[in-house]
Amino acid sequence: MAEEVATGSGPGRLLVAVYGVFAIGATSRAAVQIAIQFHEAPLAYALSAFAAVVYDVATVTLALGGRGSRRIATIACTTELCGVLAVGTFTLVDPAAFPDDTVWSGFGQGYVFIPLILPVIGLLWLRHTAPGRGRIPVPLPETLSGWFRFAAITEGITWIGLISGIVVRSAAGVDEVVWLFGRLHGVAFIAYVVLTLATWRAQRWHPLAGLVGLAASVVPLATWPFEWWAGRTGRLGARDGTAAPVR
Amino acid sequence: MNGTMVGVVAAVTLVMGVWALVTVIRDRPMTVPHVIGLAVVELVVLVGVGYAIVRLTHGGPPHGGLVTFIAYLVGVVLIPPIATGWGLVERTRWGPAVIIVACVAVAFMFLRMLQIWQGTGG
Repeated sequence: MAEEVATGSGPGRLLVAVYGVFAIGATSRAAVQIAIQFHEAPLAYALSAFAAVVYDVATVTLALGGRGSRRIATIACTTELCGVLAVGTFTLVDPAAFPDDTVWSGFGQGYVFIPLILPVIGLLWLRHTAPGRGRIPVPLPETLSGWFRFAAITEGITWIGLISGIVVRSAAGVDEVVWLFGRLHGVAFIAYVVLTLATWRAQRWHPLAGLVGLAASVVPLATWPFEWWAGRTGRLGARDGTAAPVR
Repeated sequence: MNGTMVGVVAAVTLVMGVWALVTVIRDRPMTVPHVIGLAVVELVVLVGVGYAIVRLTHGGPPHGGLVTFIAYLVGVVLIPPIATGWGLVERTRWGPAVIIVACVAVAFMFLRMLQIWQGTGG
């Protein structure tokens, strides 16, 4: 299949049908939860609503299947996969934080693990139907420097989440946002430090540059300007991933 | 809602689902008889929903929550018509594949409605 195939026809029609069932189910479920019992488990129900939006977006964009839709569908499926993996892990590690189940609890075990399988099939299908076949449709980096950039940006995003969580906690007394982003930030922080060390070595940074990079991890949002500066000064190599000259 | 009603819905959706599966295996698209079959499924669904509404008005609310139950009642009615439209457009074996998804969804939703009615299950 060398030609571009619409994502919503052929086997894609079945995929969209399954996504549609999950979209309808998740959306009505989230609506009910938020309307009548949000205070009982704010984090679980906020996640339900988030999952519902992801399923809605994935269903519509997969059904439409244009170039822009394809891109959004890829992001939606990736988000869905990350969501089910993250929520699945959290529900195993700390079940008490989720007094009421979400679609993604226990990796979707309440729904015969379809929530876990669905985004994988979705991403494979997007790849299969992509105009330039063989390219990875997942918006993930392919080089070490790319992963460093990804980690630097993600670390900053979790900082924003953490700070928002602190604001929400002092304003509304809700601890769950801090709880969630605290853990996400922990993971992102470790990933950033590891990737900074790896990139430092691979790109042969001056020790001072490497130390500034590490220091950026403890200052809120400092990884963003550092990543920007490192990219501008050629410390992340050329776009094709070749090593930068020694400096 | 009661077990008999769920059993009837499950039986009808099973027959329709197996028929659709045979069509998928034979590599044929969805045809007019399938539409009639889905109309029968919708009819049975409407009977089930009507029965549930009668029970709702002549008794207490379901143990597992009234709003959730009503959401299922509304949702399940929409599944067969949407599946008919979505599957009919596709002129390959993947049209009847959509019917299978719809049948599984309808049967599952009736089972959940029974659980909500009795206040059992997750």
